[in-house]
Amino acid sequence: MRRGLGLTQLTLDIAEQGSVPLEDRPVERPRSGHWHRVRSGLVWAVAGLIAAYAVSVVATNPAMRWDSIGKFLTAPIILQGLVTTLLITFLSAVIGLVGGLVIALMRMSANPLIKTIAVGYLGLFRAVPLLVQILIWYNLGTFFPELGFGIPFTDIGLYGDTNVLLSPVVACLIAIGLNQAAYMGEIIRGGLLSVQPGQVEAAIALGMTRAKAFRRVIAPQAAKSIIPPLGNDMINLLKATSLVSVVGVGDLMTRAQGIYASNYQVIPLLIVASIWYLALTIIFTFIQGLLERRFAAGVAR
Amino acid sequence: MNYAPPDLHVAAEVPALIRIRNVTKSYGTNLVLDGINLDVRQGEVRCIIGPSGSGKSTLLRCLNALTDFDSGAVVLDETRVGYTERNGVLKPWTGREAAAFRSRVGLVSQHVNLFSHRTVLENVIEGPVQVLGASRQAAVRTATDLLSRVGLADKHDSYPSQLSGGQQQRAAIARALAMTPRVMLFDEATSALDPELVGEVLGVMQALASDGMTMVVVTHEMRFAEEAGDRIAVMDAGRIIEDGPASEIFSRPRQPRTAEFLKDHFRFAPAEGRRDRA
Repeated sequence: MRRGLGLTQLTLDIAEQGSVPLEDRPVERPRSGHWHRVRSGLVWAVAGLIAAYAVSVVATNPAMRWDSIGKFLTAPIILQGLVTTLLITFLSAVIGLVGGLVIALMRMSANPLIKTIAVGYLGLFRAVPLLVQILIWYNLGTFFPELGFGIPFTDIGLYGDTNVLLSPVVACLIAIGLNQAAYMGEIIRGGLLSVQPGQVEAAIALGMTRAKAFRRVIAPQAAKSIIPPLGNDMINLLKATSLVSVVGVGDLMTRAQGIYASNYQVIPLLIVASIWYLALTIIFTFIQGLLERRFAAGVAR
Repeated sequence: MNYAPPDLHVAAEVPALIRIRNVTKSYGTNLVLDGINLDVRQGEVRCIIGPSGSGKSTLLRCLNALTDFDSGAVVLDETRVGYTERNGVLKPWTGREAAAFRSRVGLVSQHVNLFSHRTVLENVIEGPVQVLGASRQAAVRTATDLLSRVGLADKHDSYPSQLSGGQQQRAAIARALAMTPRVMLFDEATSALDPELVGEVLGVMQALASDGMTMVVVTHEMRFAEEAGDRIAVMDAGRIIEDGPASEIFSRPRQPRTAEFLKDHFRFAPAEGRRDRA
């Protein structure tokens, strides 16, 4: 009974629409309505207002000291810190890349022992916070007063004072570099796994040795998928170097802290540091873009 | 189609360029090659047909040492595959020796594996320059000639992703030929192609056969096997169940299993294929 009523209702609806076939009836375009325009205007207005307010609060704050931001932005001591920051970033990136490649290859090894070592390394260095790792390397002298090479369980070998060998900068480089190697290892492994096995086989079938196939085919193709996460990682690395300020290595952050400790202009100096980190990040992003284009060959466009 | 009667194409006295003796291979408990014996003569087009999973591709990959086998021997161009003679003893290959051997054997596989990050021309010169140590100039000259032979003269600077499947496969053939191989192996070279692109690739293969290239062709294209093949080996469950001149295999198969397999394959395209033989 009820079904009959529904059918009747449906038939009536169709009748009311007149005789225009469905394909000829006008439609309302999505997002073209009057209300949509009003709504998006409103969103822009509110966002603009909030932004303007935020800028004015910061800019007109008497503690802001625009003059000292300008003065310290290019102060020699800050620029020295900038150079140290870049140096630590660059050197630990090199350690990280080389170490990461080794870890990635070990992790993909068929040998279970080698694979387990790589997995253990990844687990350890990704689990312990970088700050803790920096402090461990920095304070290693309190645990092993002497370091060197020699035959285990004998006195034969070359040894030196740990605190001399592991200067604060070297301790930081090792700490950040080894930590980077763990993250880089996973990024590189992801890139290597993204290369189609057939590409490798084609290279081998052509008569390339494994090493040559790696250099000529696997590496360039892996690079394409490694670069975006690598850029991400480099930016992280750049910012992570600010952690070395805990051991006073003289990077950008250490210098900024040193200055505000004496003149109490904390926020202005943190802004000075932020501006430099922002500038470096923009440069890194630009380089990443260049590299991506360089290795994009062969992607469908 | 214009071709010499296959049986007369290569005389039986021509010494075998490839000798396969008693080759076995298993993956775990699965015996994929069960005592294979096969000869391929110089200049011959040797087709291997048979149902999927019968071991055809595995056998082919044993010929250029991409896959190793458990027992038996393969001799290709007087090289014992997998071993080098040193002080009268056959010693297992080093990686370098295996690579040097593979550079003398061309392989075109089902899944076209042109290097995706290089242009067509770069793909073709990669082997000669990187493996054979040819000069870039000489390699480009050879590549230009080969690419026009496979009908890709205008595609030098295209990337593989910009080509059709058939064009990619023809470029892959040119890449293999650039190494001036002693033998060309084709592993279901047309299986992954759209039907309308199969013909252009088979055409290139046929031209290559007429030029006298020694070819081992694993294929599901029965018409190609029938027309271009000199001798056909039929594989089933890791064994060669029948082996003989193309004319005999297709018109008078001796094994019921062969007849059954051929019947399945000719079910949808019988008329033309059969008329050619008549």
